[in-house]
Amino acid sequence: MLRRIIIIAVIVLVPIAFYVASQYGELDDVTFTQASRTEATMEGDQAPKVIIVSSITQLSDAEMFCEDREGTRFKVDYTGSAPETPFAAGQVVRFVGHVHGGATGYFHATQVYAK
Amino acid sequence: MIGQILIHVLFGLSVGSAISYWMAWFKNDETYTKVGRTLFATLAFGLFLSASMLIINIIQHRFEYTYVYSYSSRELPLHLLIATFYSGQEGSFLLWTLLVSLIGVVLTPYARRHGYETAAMSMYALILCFLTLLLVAKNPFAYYYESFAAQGMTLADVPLNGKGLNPLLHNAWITIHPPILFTGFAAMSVSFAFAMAGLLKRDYHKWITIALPWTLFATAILGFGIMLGGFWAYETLGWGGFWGWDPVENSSLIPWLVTVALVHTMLVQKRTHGLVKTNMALAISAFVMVLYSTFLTRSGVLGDTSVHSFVDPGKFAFWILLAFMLTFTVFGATMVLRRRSDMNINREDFDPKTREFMLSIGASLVMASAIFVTVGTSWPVIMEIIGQPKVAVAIDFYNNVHRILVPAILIVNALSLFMQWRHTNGKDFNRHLAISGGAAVVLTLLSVVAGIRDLANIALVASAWFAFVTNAQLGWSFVRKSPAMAGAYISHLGIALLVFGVIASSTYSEQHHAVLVENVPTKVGDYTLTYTGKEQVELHFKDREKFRYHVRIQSASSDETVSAVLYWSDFNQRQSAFLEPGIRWGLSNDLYVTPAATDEEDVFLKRTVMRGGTTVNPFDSAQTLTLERFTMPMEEGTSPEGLMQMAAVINVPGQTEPVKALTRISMGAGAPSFEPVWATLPGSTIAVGLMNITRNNDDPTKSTGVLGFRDMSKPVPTPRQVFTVDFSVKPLISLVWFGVITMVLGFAFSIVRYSRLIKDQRTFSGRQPAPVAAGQAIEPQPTDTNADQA
Repeated sequence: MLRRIIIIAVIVLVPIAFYVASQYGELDDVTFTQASRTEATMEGDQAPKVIIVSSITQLSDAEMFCEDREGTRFKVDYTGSAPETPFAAGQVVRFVGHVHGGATGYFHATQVYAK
Repeated sequence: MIGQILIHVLFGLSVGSAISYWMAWFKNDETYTKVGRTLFATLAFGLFLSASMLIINIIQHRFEYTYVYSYSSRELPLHLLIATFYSGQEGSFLLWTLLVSLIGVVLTPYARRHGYETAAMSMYALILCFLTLLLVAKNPFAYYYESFAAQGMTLADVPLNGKGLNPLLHNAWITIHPPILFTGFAAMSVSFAFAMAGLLKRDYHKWITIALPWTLFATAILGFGIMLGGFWAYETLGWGGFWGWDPVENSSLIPWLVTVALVHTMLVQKRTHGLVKTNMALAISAFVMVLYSTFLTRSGVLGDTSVHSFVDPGKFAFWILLAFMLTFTVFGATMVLRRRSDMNINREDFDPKTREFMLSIGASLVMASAIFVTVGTSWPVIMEIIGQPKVAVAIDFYNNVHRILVPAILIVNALSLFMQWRHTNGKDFNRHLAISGGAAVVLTLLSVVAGIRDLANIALVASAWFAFVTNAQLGWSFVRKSPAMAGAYISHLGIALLVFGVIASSTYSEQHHAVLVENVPTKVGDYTLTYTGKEQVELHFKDREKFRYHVRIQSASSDETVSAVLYWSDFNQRQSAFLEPGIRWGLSNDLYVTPAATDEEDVFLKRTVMRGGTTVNPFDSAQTLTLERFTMPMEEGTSPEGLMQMAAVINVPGQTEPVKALTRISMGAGAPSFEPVWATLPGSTIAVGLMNITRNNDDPTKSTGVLGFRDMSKPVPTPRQVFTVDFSVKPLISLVWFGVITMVLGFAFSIVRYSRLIKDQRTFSGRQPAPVAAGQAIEPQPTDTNADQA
């Protein structure tokens, strides 16, 4: 009986663990305005991590500017590892990171994925 | 150079020792065992020597070594200098290896006495092969000029001072917590080595008796180490909690949970000779989880998903860590699978009304917790593997899962104690259940009256009371017979206390945000807080101005002062503040003051205005001023002191000429600072000054400025200091610490008890040798039926 209980529990538990984790381990896909709003109202030190689907509009050695799906232009400071495909103007990517507030708010991205 | 050579020699010694022990095992030749033993002792001595050399290098400020340069500095006091030994990856690997070898020195004669030396030490020496190989990859004796050769450094380039220790680590706990935690990690190798030895020897029962005190020791010491980490976070980091489900915390918790399950299933096997394969699997898993957790936190794979910083150890170390983990996982799993038919001896189905059944269910629930924590901690890696954004699960994942698992574990714990081994008398069970269950119901109702409302918390409290009353009731009867037999009950009482503390402090804490003006009493909740001033401390550190801020906390029944610390340091380029809370420790509650900011009181009335916008004169509500524009620095030139100047051009009603409010701008290390030049509004004594400008680079017309107003006929008051704090009252948090200490104390009792039992058994074996063939070892059984819990 014990053996049966444990085998069934393991068979059921592991997929449940993965399913439950997936419910708590998803990032919100937002716009820069939405991310900024969350940053302004949050209690912690750092704004929550989010995904912004971004179109790179301006790229130089020093700065990168993107547009989100609403057309809002924002600065991106990317500090993650080198992307598989080098950044290029016009490219659409998913940036993962968080907003830094202030009058000249920007998006601090630490990961980048193809759209 | 000697240090680097020594590390390579140590790797050679570990390989030599492992090969000798394995040869001894395969050839059954005592000569190889002696060689293995000698090489192992030499290896342990060599590791002690290299650790001593590293300590000497640190104390003598030998900054020609990269490790010493990277983590220490001349300003550090002795205890922190010693702590830098294990502040970086190289040093912490050395500490872990040293502790494994020192435990091995004690283990060798112990294993020999029980006829397990060759088999157990062959595994143990193999572990040290990987650890010393890691030291080769992350050598703490690498030279500065070697590490920075790419930057053009040569042998002659020796830094005058080191980079220093992270200010967060500047406290006494760093001298205690890591060594204890690493001792726990090191001790986890022992039960693994004995389990593997049991598999090699096809001796599936005796290893349980031999390994049990070591497993208890590992569980106790690792649990204590984890608690110290939580206490350190609570006392020093100032975020107000003691557990954040961070990967670094989880990486210690996972092996601990597995070893807690192992301790209980070992007891079942000891008593019934059942769960043979389970124990093998759990002993291997506990050690593999130490390696997996080390891999997660040291390989850099979790970078960017934790509040802790994870340094990429480099490709070589990454692959060694991966190989370390995979080798022992594959080796262990293969051995279990190969011996699985052998291990089916004494296979029986436990009756649900027995202690062995309930203990097995309890161990399964603890393992379920370990599985959930492992999945949660590994989530970023899992996501990365399937090409999704690398993200950690939310803390609620762990909290919600444990809201179900913890009550279940506590209830099963209590029920298991009512049951007997092999057969439970239904009458006794019902009687115990009625007494403990009744008491738990009454105490839970009292807790509800005291304020516990949430259903999940009521379930937690009820189960904790049930476990508490049961363990107290049964434990007390054993304390009177023999205190050594009460270990399990003491440990379980500790867990129940811990749960009470967690519920009370996490759910019923009061939190307030307070702005305290110097020497002005401020009512915050039921307390009156007064910021009474600050004093500078640790003046010898040049990278910071560290202040202690004193806050007096008064209530109807108490009057005490706590000191919180807040400062910025060059260590992190002043990007974020370092802080330490001020805590008034108490049995019933802690008063916790977290510094948030310091500033000076605003002595001027301020109004923010946009270019082209209007604002009302705060001294004359009938007068509306319009900000025409900001002037540019080239328009205003520099001040007599050479500072850049800008101005706000303000239109005043009834005046043809605008008023120009200048400001002088100096560029500091961080943001620019503004010094207003006061301009009097015509026909009054009120003056206006430009206090700040926030430029909007995208759209300069949206730039804003802050205008300050003052009455020139009155002197400017001296601004007072303002200290902003987060103040919280944390009820019964002391139970968290008492709970863990009680739990560890219980383990200590059990270690003594089972060590004594082994001695007794050896005496017994000496008179009448016990057969050692598979599954036939005869062990004297204790006469009590209730005491065989950890």
